[in-house]
Amino acid sequence: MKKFFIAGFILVLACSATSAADKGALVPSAAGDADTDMQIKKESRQPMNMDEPMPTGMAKKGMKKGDVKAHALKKEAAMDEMMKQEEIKK
Amino acid sequence: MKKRSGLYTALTTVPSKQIQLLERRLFLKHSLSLGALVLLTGCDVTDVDAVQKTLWAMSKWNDRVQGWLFNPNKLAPVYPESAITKPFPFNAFYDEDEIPMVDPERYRLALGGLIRDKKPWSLAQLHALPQVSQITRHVCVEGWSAIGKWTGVPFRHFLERVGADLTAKYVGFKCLDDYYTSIDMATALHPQTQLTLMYADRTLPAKYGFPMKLRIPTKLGFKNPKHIAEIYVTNVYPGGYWEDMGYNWFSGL
Repeated sequence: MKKFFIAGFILVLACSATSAADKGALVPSAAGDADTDMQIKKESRQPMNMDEPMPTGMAKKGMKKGDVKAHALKKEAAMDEMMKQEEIKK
Repeated sequence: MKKRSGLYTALTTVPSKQIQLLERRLFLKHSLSLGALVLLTGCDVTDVDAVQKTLWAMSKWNDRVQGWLFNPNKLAPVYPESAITKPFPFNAFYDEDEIPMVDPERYRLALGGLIRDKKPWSLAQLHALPQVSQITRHVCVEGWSAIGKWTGVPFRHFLERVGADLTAKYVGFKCLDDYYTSIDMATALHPQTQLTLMYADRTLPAKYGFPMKLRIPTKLGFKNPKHIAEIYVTNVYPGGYWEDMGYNWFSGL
């Protein structure tokens, strides 16, 4: 009888763990704290508002958050071609 | 308000000797600016293009001088754990609730340019590399500084491991938040330049650059890219976002 209860208890525990894992609560992670940090942030996280002014003191008047992406794309296009040529020469 | 109190804490922890050094450095920088202004007197200051060109030339010259003066063996000051700034300030061109989300399982570090082995690296592979810790000061161009404990892979070790061309001039970084920057190879090979994976003995928090940032205690804060997605090696001048906006490229301390 005792063994039956223990087996039943283990079965219930196993089912709960499987259910929790399905919901992503028990997924092991290499990132650990960062994952927790991100999960906490997830609810308040929002996509970057590209038209808002940059909040940093480095920004000049009129600079918007979206400017960084626009410049990054231009830079990538310019660098890609030059770096291809550089690798060919090597 | 929270940010301001963090900065206040950061500023109050700056030792007076450090402030004197900063003041001397500022004086020298202002002298250089004065020199640039004297040169500008030869320009027609209403000709914006001419002024811009002259200032760019001065900044490039400044980069070269800093490159010559850079001592690859001189270490940045290190501090005891008691000097660590709490909380370490968050600073970016976006707000804290807009930090990019990164899935650690799917993350891969891309490699490009003059690198022999360009296979992407998973976070687990990066964590398996030998790591060292440093307690160093992050100095922001905005005028504040803060001390933190950073742990990660010496960047030189990583570059050697992937077969990067160590004779190339530049190492560039593309980040998951669209930020981009680049550094000189001498700084990349400096013993304290670190591919940082942890902060204060814990996985690097999202606000400090998860999954990985480059920590360079010999350069200003904006030269320390966060959320790195790609590293490339090149002889083509890559610049950077703030650098392309007029901030000095070398920005050494």
